[in-house]
Amino acid sequence: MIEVKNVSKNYGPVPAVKDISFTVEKGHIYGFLGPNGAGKSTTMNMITGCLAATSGSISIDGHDIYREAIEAKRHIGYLPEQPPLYTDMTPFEYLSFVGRAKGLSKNELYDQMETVMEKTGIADVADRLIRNLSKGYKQRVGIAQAILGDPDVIILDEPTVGLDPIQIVEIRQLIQELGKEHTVILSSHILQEISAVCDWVIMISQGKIVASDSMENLLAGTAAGGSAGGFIQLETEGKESAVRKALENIEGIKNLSFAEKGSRLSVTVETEDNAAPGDQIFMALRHASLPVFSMTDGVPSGQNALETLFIQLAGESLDAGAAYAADKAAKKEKNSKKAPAGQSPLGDAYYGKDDNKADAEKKEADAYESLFEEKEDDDQ
Amino acid sequence: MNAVFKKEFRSSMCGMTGMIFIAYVLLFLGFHTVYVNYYAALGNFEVVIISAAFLSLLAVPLLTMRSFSEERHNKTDQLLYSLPISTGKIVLGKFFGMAAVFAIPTAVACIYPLIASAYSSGTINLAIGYGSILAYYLLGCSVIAICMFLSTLTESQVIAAILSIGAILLLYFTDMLLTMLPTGAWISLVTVILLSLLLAYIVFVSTKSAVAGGVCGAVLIIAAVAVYLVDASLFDGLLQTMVGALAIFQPIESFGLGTFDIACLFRYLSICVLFIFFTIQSFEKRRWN
Repeated sequence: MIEVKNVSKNYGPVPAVKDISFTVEKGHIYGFLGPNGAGKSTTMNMITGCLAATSGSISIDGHDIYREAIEAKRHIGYLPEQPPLYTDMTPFEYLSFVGRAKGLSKNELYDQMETVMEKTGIADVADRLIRNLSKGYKQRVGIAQAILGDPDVIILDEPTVGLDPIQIVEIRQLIQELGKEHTVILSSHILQEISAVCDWVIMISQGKIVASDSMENLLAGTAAGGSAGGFIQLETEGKESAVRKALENIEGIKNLSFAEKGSRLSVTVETEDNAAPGDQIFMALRHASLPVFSMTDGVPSGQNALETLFIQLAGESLDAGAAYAADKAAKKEKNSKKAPAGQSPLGDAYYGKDDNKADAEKKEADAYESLFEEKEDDDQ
Repeated sequence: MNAVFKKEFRSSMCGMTGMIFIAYVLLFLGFHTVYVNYYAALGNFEVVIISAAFLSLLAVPLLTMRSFSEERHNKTDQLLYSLPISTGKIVLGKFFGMAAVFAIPTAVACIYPLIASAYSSGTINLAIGYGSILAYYLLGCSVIAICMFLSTLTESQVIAAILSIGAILLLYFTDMLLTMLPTGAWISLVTVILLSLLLAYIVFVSTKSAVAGGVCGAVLIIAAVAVYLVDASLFDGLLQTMVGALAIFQPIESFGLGTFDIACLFRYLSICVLFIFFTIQSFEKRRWN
């Protein structure tokens, strides 16, 4: 359906997207996942013809987006990050403009507008000026213009940014509905969204594709230990140094991080690939007279698995240099003061106090986590 | 193109800008009609048009300032880029939309000569009067095209308006500039070389090919220098002629002499075509930035 071949985009001397290639097949909901500044919007703008690639080619259903632009664009409906709405129009007027521009005949236009407005739930506000609509409705009008003309592929760039939780759920349901009839590409930096809606994930980091696979395969790869390693989460009582000492001789432990939870100490043990030192950890703590209140062995699941994988893959592509990572790690340290401990099984690892002891890889992971936090702060 | 035309026309007419523009143009045309035809009791409507042209067209930036800069500012240009319409049709749609708004006061002005002739016992030459209205409309369209192009250069409507007013003033006062320019052949050669370089750059930007730009620039410069070496007198006063081409408010004055100046109409049409082309290039260039 969509074929992206060796596409690069430079903004002046700054490379935004570096030699990416992927294909989009019919009938899936694709999640385009990456932190802010990874090149998601740039890629989407290039696919939809809003931006020209510096090199490489993009074809939609066999039509090159630049050489046969009109034919290629007929197959695409696009909602950019900021919905492109004419606020002095009503949704009805706006959609009739878009429909006419998409070449719909009068009868087709009114039929489709009715269907689309019903689907997106904007029929009630069709005669109000767009500028007076709430953000959620504006987003719906944006989606409505994208699906008008019944395009094969619908591309939505961060469609839930800035919406309240109820609106987010509604928009996600809408996207899932759309996925039944259209191929949908959805970009987001929110992992939960991707894991909730998409069945195929394309991960992008630093302008490069770091993974492109079905959600099942990606999660299976993580669950099998794969390249992502594992985590053991436990709660004990005592000092950090005592726990460190008790666990120092156990093989297969990559990293330890700590967070205080009241009088207890929450420990996240990052284990090496295919290592399963759970029983040894338990025995070692028992020998050191450290009570274990809870212990969750193994791999993160669902969203957390995706998070782990993403952070690892993103981290691998982050070989750009220690300076960048250190800079972001410093920012993260500032953020960690605000962040509550134990947000997720991985949370303590990210918000732990032992930054100084953390190795470079963890700093890179932290750097990405802080990027998420910054964006979420912005959104609020 | 039809959709963009309707949208552009509608948004001008539904907002305040279109109405203010029409009112402004009608105010100056009406004022000059009263002054020339009734107060001075002169039976020539072309005199009204010639004297009102500059002042009434000073309002064009009001109409054009938002055409592309607002799209860029509100990021609605992304919608236009992603729709299955060519850039040329988008620009033409917008241009015709604005030209249609300008047609409204011009159409109203078409009644004025009839009113005057009803009271003047047939001394008004309607053919020349309507000829001058046609020239005035095309002059307005060329000013719209120029200002529309300037609107693609910035995302601020205010800057677009200031640039446009500056351009209209410059075009109007070109006559005064002409008298101050040097007439030597060599200065004309330098100007031709500079223009060749500019054209080479435009070719480079449009085709993305340094070779095409370089070849175009080199051919033009070599040709200019060769002609200069063969017969330098050809370059005498060329600078004046070139700058004089910018004086778009002057050709319409030939209607005041009672001539139906077709060259003037063609000149306005070619300015429209040229600046629509520049607008398309400028709008397209944004995609490549």
